[in-house]
Amino acid sequence: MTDTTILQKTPLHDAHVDFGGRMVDFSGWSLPISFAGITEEHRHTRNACSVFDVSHMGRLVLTGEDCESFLNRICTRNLMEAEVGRSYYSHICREDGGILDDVIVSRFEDRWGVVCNGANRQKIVGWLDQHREGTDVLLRDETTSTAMVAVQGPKTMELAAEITGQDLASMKRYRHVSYEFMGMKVTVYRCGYTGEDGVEVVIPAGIVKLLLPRLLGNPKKPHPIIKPAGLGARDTLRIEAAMPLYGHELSEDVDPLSAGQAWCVDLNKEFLGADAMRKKKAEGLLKQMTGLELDGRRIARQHQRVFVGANDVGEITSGTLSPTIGKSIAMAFVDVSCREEGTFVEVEISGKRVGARVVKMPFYTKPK
Amino acid sequence: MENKSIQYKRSRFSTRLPSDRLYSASHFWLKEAQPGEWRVGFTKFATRILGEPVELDFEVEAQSQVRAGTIVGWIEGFKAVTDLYCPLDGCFSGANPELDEEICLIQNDPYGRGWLYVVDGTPPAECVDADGYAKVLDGAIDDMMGKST
Repeated sequence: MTDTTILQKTPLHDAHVDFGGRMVDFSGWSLPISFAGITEEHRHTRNACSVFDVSHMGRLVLTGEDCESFLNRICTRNLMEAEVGRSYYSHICREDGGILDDVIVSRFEDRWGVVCNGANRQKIVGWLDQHREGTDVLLRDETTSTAMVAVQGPKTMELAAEITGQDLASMKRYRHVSYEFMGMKVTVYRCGYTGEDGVEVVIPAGIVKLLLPRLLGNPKKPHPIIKPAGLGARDTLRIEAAMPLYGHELSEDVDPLSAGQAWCVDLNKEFLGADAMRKKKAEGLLKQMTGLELDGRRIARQHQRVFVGANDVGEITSGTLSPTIGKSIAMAFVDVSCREEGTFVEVEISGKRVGARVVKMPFYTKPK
Repeated sequence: MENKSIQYKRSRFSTRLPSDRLYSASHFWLKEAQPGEWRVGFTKFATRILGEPVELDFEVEAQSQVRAGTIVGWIEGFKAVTDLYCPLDGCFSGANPELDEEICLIQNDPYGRGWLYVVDGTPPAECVDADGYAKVLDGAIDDMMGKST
C-alpha cells in the first residue's frame, strides 16, 4: 500500500465510523479493527451477540450445466453429492498441493456460490477463469454489489429470528436459506469464524442502510444486546477456536494435510492437487499444525521460531493472549515428532526463549 | 494551576490535555511529582495508536542512567510490540507497580493511574506545554488523515 492508495469502502463503512470504529487498511479495504476494545468485543461475542462486517470477502456466483463437476475438480472437498441448501468448507489448491485459498462453497437451486478471502479474490477469479475454459460454467463476481455481515454469539439465533421473522433456529450448521426482505433477496448461512453459533448474511448493498438500524440501532440509541465488533476480536476469537487464517496457517507453501485440514480433503476423488497430496500422505508428513500454550503473557507472533532444546523445530503461525482462558496461546507449524500433548518447547520472542507446552486444539469449545 | 486542562479536537479524535505537565513529540507526558522526579506516561493519543495493552516490561534496572531516546522497555498490544522510549535524561527510578495488576490503566486512565515509570532528571528543552502539544497533535493527525483517505 502506498500513501496515495484509495481504500475500498464496504457498504457499512459510514456506520462503522458513526459507531466509533477504529478504521485500518486491511488488504486494501477500510475496515474497523475495534470499537469498544478487542477484549470487550471478544467477551461480548462469547456471551451475547456481535456483528462483524465481512463484506471484503469475495462473493462469486457460478451458473451453468457443468458447475458441479467443475467445482469438484477445483475443490479438495467432494461436491458430487452436494445438496441444495448446504454449504461446504473446502480448500482450492494448485497441482503441487499448495493452498490457493480456503472457501465456503454453497449449492443453490439454480447456481453455486463461492465465498473466498478478500485478499485472494483476484487470484481465485483468475484460477477459476483459467480452468473453466471449455466448460459450461459462467462466473459472476458479486462482491461489490452485496454486503456480508457475520452475526455471532450464543444469543444470535434467538435475535436473528426476531429481526428476520424467519424460523432460523431449525436450520442446521452449514445450511443456508434465502428469503425476501424489503423486496430484495437476502441469504442467511448458519456458519461463522468465531467458534460460536451464528449466521453470516449476504444482502444487496442497497438495503444495508435499511437493515443496519434493525441490527445495531444507532450510535445514540444502540441495540441493547447486539454490538459491533472489529477485525481484532475476529482474530482472537478464531485463534481460540483454532480456525486457520489464510496468510498464517494456510498459504501456497503448505498443503491442507500439513495444515491439519485433512477433514476437508477427499483423496478418493480427482481434483487439482490430489496426486501431490496422495504422495505427501504416502511419504508421511514432516511438519503439522500444533497448538501451544505459553508461559507468561507475551504474545507469540507469526514467523517466530519454535525450539526443542537446541533444535529449531518450526515456526509460529498465529498467537494471541486468549481473553477467554487468560493465557498466551499460539498455533505453530512444527515437526511431527514434537506434537505429543504436554511436550515442552520454547518460542524465541525478541531474542529470548519463552517456555510453552503442546496442547490440544481448539483452545476453546463453546458450551453445549 | 493543577487540574486545569485544555480541550483538544481534530477530525474524530478528541482529548483533554492537562496543563500541569510537559509533553514530548513522541507522545509521552512528563509530570514533576516531586522536585526533579518526573513521572512519564503515554498521552491518550499514544494509547489510541497502540491499542489495548496486554503486557509490558522494563529492560533497565532501577537507578540506572538513561538518556532521552534510550529504549527502557517494551509494551505489547494484540497487534504489535512497541519499544518504550525515554523522553528525558536522568536516572530511571522504577515502574508503576499498579500496572502489574491492572495493565488496562494505561488505556483507561492515561494521565492519572496509568503512568508508566519515574525518572529523576531534567526534561529536554524540546518538551512542550499543552498548547505546544496540541500543535504536535495537529501535525500527527493531518499526516494520518493524508495516509488513510
